[in-house]
Amino acid sequence: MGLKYQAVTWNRHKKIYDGVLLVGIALYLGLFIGLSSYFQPEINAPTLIIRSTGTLALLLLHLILVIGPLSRLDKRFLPILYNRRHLGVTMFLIALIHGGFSILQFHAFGDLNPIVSVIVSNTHYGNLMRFPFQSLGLLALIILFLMAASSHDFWLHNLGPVVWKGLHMMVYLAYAVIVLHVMLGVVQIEHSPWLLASLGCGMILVISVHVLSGVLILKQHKLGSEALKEGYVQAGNIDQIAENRAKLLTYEDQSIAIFKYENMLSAVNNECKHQHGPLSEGKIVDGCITCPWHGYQYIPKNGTSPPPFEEKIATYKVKLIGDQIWVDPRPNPPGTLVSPCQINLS
Amino acid sequence: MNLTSSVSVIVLIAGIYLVIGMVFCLVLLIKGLGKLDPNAESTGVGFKILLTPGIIAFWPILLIKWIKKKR
Repeated sequence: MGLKYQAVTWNRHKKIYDGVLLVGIALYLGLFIGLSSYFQPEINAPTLIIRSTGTLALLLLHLILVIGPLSRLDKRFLPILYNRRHLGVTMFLIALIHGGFSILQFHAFGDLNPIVSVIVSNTHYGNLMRFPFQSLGLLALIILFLMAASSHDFWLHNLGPVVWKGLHMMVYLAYAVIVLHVMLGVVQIEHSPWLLASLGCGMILVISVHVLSGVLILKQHKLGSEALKEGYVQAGNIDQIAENRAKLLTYEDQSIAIFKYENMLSAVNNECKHQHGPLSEGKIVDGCITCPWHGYQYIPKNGTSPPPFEEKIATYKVKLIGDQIWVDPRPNPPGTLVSPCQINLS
Repeated sequence: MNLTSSVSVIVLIAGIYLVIGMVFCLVLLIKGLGKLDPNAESTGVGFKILLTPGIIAFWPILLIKWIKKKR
């Protein structure tokens, strides 16, 4: 953001988010270990740790995958999306405990290097039902490590947006590998119908929210040059925008977020400069447009991040005719001041 | 070469890659982080600790970038 990096740029929202996350994790682990110890007292402590952390990491991964599309479908999910980065790193650390204890329990005391042992102790690579599921877990852990290790903004800047985004889209590959890891593990060792049924429900949820969210994006009205009248494009009715929220207008190659706030309208480019987050899905916080992904902020009238930050996005002219919003789709250079359109409906 | 030998060689190569990464990480954190990215100049210990696993994993990319900046 044009400022010196910090380990974590804390604010009140992030502290609350992390607090809720940690309490949730403690509750889950406590309940899982407590109930398992009561109903299956024969299970030893390392196995309990492996099972509790494995199921928790899987649960968190599902949450991570669904909150993006869910927030698009219903804005009430946006608070969960806000600090997904910490959720992802936390999920990796829990998966690491799961993997570490599994390697320690099953592969650490033989003649082979433990990592080599994970890959070669079961060599049925040509047999689907007997496929070495622990190798899949190791592969998923490596992918999750690369993502967690590169989650700081330093990496976005130094790997470049294309490489960084590509790396982080590998979460879907990790998910597919983890699904196979769990399914084969259930078939070969656990024999738990509940785990398999939960995984099936989770997969259905992940796929369905992605499909629904994709349909929603396709349904959004994309305007072409025929919509242009006297240099402006009609963007709908003023009542369609809630206070401190935005409406998305797509016109040819322009994606424009029109914000309504303090009886005014301002339009800016929809893409956040940070990770191209959709600003139209964010809201106005403390007078600034706030990206729903990581909280980057812009002043609505000039598209500039509040000092000392230096990000700038394009702005657009907006006018009201009656209760209809009209936007000039030609972008002004990033950071250009455009007087907000006053809402004076009689 | 059987599977165990092949995997052992790959794991050994990965180990060597990570050891080089650790050495590079030390050098970068002591000497070159600010040169690589001005926003990382004089940053705190917490930030550097947070970067360490990534530097060890992605060291060739950072090394190339560092060399290019030196020229």
